[in-house]
Formats: sequence, structure tokens, C-alpha cells
Amino acid sequence: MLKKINALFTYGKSFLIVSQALTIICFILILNKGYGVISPLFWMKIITSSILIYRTITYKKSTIYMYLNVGVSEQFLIYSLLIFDFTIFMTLIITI
Amino acid sequence: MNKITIDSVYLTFDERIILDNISIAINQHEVVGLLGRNGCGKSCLLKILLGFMAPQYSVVKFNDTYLKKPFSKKNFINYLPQTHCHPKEISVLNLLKWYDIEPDYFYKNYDFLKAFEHKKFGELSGGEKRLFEVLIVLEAQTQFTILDEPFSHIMPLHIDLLKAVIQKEKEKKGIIITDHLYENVLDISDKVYLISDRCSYVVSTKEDLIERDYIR
Repeated sequence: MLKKINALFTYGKSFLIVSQALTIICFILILNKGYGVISPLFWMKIITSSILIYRTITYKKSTIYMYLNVGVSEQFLIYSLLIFDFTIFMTLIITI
Repeated sequence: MNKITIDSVYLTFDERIILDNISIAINQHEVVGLLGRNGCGKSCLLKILLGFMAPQYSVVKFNDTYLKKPFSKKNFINYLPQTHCHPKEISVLNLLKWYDIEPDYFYKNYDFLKAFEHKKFGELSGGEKRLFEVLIVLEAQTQFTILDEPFSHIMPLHIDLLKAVIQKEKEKKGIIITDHLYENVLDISDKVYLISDRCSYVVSTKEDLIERDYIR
């Protein structure tokens, strides 16, 4: 399991840095502007995460064989990154 | 003995037939060579075997069962593509750990690579990267290994080393090799397939390759 987590962060480091930065920006905007901006920010988050994950898949295409060789599937990497990203985003929205 | 067979492969791109009724088989403890001209479909055939590419028709079997996702079976198969496939930012030592290779064992066999232990993969030269990649894929504990152009960018001295390692690892696994350095492939393979005119032919000597117009 440790290897899978390690693989996940190696594969998705750039994705996570940018997506978490966007999550923080969303959080700050909601705090300043109120709940009215949640809906457009939610859609912005979906669109930016989709673009970022597509960019990650394309950029990391040549290294995917290594992850497969060590027993980590591409589906695991992609879904785990998206689930992690949206869990943090939703948790922040709910806790405001 | 465990065996992978890939049978009746029919692959077309834009109505151009690439592979037509190709069949190859590999047993564990065997080295199978795959030769063919550029663009003849060697890499496609390997990708079909690995489930990365869906042809119009193919049957891939492990022993008597259909094999759709070879990578979903733990420690079953690993693959080295033509291009470097390891992230630049990972250290050589960590790569060994990811592949479950004991560093002490690895450096006992390949002491000249000890100098790279703490280097990042991206800091190695092209030839060093290739040599290291081929060695870790071969040393990993799988039943089958597929190597796409393992001898590219590697100096002759290390090619001899790789040939010896392949012969040693054959005791544990089945290995498929495709490379344009056909003499090396003929040297180490128990069985060699030549893909020519969309079909596969079993060849064993340089004369067979001349006859099939692969070399002159």
C-alpha cells in the first residue's frame, strides 16, 4: 500500500500542487464573497480538474509503463487523484 | 510449463492491413526473439499482447485461459518500451525498491552501477538509463518480461552483459525481445519470429533473414 501511495504522489505531484492551489483560491473567494459564488466555483473546479488530469495523463504517458510494472494501474492513479482532490474541495466547502 | 499464446491477430490502420493472422507463443524459461522491418507491427503486436491496443481480432491466452489484462495479475508480466519509461525525479535506489529488488543483491551482481545509487534517474546518461532500465525489468520477479529494443544506446561491453543476464533470467521467466541488432537476438533466443509481409515466420539463421528480405 505504501508503494501505491508513493506512486500516486510521484505520478500526480504537479496535478496536486495546482489543484490544491485552486482549491485554496476557491476557499478564499467563498470566505470573501459568500455562498453565492459556490455554484460557479464548483463548475470551475470540475473544468480545471478535468483539464489538469488530461494534462497529467498526456505528460506522464511515457512513464505509465513503470507504474504498471510495479503493480499500480493507470485507473487507480487517475481516480485516486480525482477523488482526493474533490474530497478536499468538498470538505472545505462543507466546513465553511 | 506456463505459456502465453497470441493467435490470429488481425490489425488494420485506415484500411491498411498491418498484421494478418499472426501467431506467436512463448513458454516460461524461454527467450523468444521478434524481428521485422520498421513499421511492420512488432511493437503493435507486443501492445496487443499486453492489452494496450485492441486489434480487429486477436486471441491472447495464458495456458488455456483468455488473457485480457496481463498487468492485473500480480507479478505476472513487465514491459520495457522503446523509450525511457522511468520518471527523471526518482533516485536509482528508490527505483530498485519500487521493483522489489534488494539493493545489496543488485549491486553485488552489478557493482559498476553502485556509483549511481543516489543519483536521480534523469541524471544518468542515455546509455546508463537504458542499461539500468533493462536490468531492473529483468531482475524483477515476474513470470514474463517483454523488452522492446533493449540493446539500443548500449555499448558493446554492456550488450554482452545483458545477453548473459537474459540467459540467467531465462531460468526464472519467459522473455520476449525485439531489436534491430538481429545478431544479438539470434544469439540469445530459443525461437525467433520474423514479421514480414504482415505474417510471422519462424527463423533461425542469418540465411533465413536474407531469404525473407530482412537483411542483405
